[in-house]
Amino acid sequence: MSNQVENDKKPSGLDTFLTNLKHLPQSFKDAAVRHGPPSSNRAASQSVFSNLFLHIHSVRTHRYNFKKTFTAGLGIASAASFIILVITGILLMIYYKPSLLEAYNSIKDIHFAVPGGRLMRNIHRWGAHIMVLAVFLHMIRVFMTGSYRHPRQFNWVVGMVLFAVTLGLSFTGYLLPWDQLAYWATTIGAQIAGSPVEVTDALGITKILDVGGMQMRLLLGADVVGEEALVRFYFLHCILLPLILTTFIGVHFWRIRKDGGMSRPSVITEDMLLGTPVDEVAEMAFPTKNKTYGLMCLVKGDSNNVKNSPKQTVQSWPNLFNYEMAIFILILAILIVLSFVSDAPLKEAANPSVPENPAKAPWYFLGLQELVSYSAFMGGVAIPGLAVLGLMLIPFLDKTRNESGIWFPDKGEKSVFKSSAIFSAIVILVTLVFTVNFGWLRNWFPHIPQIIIVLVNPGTLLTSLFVWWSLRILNKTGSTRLGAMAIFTCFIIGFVILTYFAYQHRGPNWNFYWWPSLWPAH
Amino acid sequence: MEEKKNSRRSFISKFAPATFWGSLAVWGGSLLKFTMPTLLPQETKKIKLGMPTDYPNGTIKVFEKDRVVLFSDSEGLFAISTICTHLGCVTKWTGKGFDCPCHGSKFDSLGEVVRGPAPKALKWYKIDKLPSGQLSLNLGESVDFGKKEQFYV
Repeated sequence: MSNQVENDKKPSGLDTFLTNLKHLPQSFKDAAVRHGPPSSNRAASQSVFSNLFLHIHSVRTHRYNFKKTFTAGLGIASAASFIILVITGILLMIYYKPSLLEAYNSIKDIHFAVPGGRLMRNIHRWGAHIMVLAVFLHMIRVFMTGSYRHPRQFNWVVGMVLFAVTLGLSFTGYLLPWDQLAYWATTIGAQIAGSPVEVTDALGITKILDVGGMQMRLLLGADVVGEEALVRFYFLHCILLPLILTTFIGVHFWRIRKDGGMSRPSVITEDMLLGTPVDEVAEMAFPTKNKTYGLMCLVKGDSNNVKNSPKQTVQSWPNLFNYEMAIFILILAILIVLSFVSDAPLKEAANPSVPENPAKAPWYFLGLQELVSYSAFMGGVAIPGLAVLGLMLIPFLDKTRNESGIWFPDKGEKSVFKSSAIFSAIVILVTLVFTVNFGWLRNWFPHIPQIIIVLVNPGTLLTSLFVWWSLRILNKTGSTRLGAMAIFTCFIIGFVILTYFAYQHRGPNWNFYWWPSLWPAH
Repeated sequence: MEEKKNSRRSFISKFAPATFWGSLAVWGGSLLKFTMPTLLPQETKKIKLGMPTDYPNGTIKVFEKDRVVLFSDSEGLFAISTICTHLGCVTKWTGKGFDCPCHGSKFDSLGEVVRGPAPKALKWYKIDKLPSGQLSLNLGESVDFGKKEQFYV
């Protein structure tokens, strides 16, 4: 009897099904997101740490991180432009064909026939420029604010890897359109990879150990830029390098948190935090004396810093995410505007018998191209290699534990920065003026052995002057930080001036011209 | 139980990971080897030049597509590559010498560096005489700088 009663009360299978169907959206959402809407601090915290994509952020973010004059959002800008590049790049892959016969025409199709193709290509092109610029400025910011110091040394090294891979991505992408610019810039780039042959030739060991030739063949898959090179560059540009970059970006972000969040000074007063978001609850939630902050916002560092930190944090949701989204749409807006204003270039199809004149690399390689015009090996391999190695080692050679997270914390840094900037600017300008007017060793001694030119040329001269200057500062001040500041400033100023000079004042045959309009017809 | 210093266990516990890393290294090495091209696609090109009498003293013939210039003077025939030894751009024969557009290297009429960053003289190619008496320019083989060939008919 009782069984029958229960059976009557039980809804039929169809009813259950319909009820479930009715609740489908809600139950699906509950299964995907286990917490309620982020209306309370607790729910907002859960939103962050229970989401795979958000949990690389901490639940609470220090207010100092929002200081625009501190970071200028450059790291996020780099990542944002990379995301935009991945999206537009994947779309471009739908139409692009990596073969000698089709490459140039497929880019032409994308540019002129595919709906939205021109915009897509332009955004990709401008995105590459903006990303290189953002990464470069981000590096300057991190150096100048001393943020590479303990415990962030390793993340600085990871950052240098990201810098190098970013440049590699730009370089490999340059070949893909297979136009004149692409062909000749890649020919030059590949020959630079092969330029150690200058040294092995001088030593007479090229036949036994041809390092340059091996490097070049590895890059091109042949001795000349052709089909094999195009396929290799396509693979590097679309698969290998993005994979490496994505992996190391993951490590870079992960390490920010593992190294105790972003760098900041040990004492942060309220007026240093002007213009950053405020959380009124924080004062009560984190009483200083009891040190009762939760595990979620555990930070490493000296106790003084740690004790004060929790009070100066805000919920990452929504403050940090709003900040990040704002930078993302800002970058996207800049790219779209630039893409409408100026088209990505597409010259005539590649012609291996007539070089583009002048055949200029993209702007971020122009400084190197100027150095390469003195000596291929020194300018293209040795000096940039030493520069990247030197930058990587900075945190291990300068171990001072000064304040991090402040631009020019004392007068010493600022004055070294200024004097180094002036010194390097003068030295570079004098060298350039001299070289343009009088030429170099070969003009005076036509039969001079090549090895002397490899060793003594404007590029090596400048590099040794910069090293000398930095050692002098190091000796005079006794501070490794100031020594590092000196050489880093020289490096930045050198990069800027040489880039400008090669961009503006080098014309056909790499001759000096005041203005591109003065270039002779050719 | 006392553990011996060189027990079987300690040997295996060292040997096992060493095997892993060792095999990984060998595998990694072979992967690197895989990327190194052995089949170089560049074909050895030969240009038929005709009879030696077609090139009297003072002849200068530019093969733009093949990137080579052929000269004939009283000492014989010689062919100079127009590919710049600096970074592989193609130089232009000006009538007096070779000018490179990329980084301003200049070479004299024999291909010797006069100015600029080029590390060495332009390459000289080999000229062969075929059994038929015809001349053939071999772009796959270079000869020493300054080696001019006399061909008697």
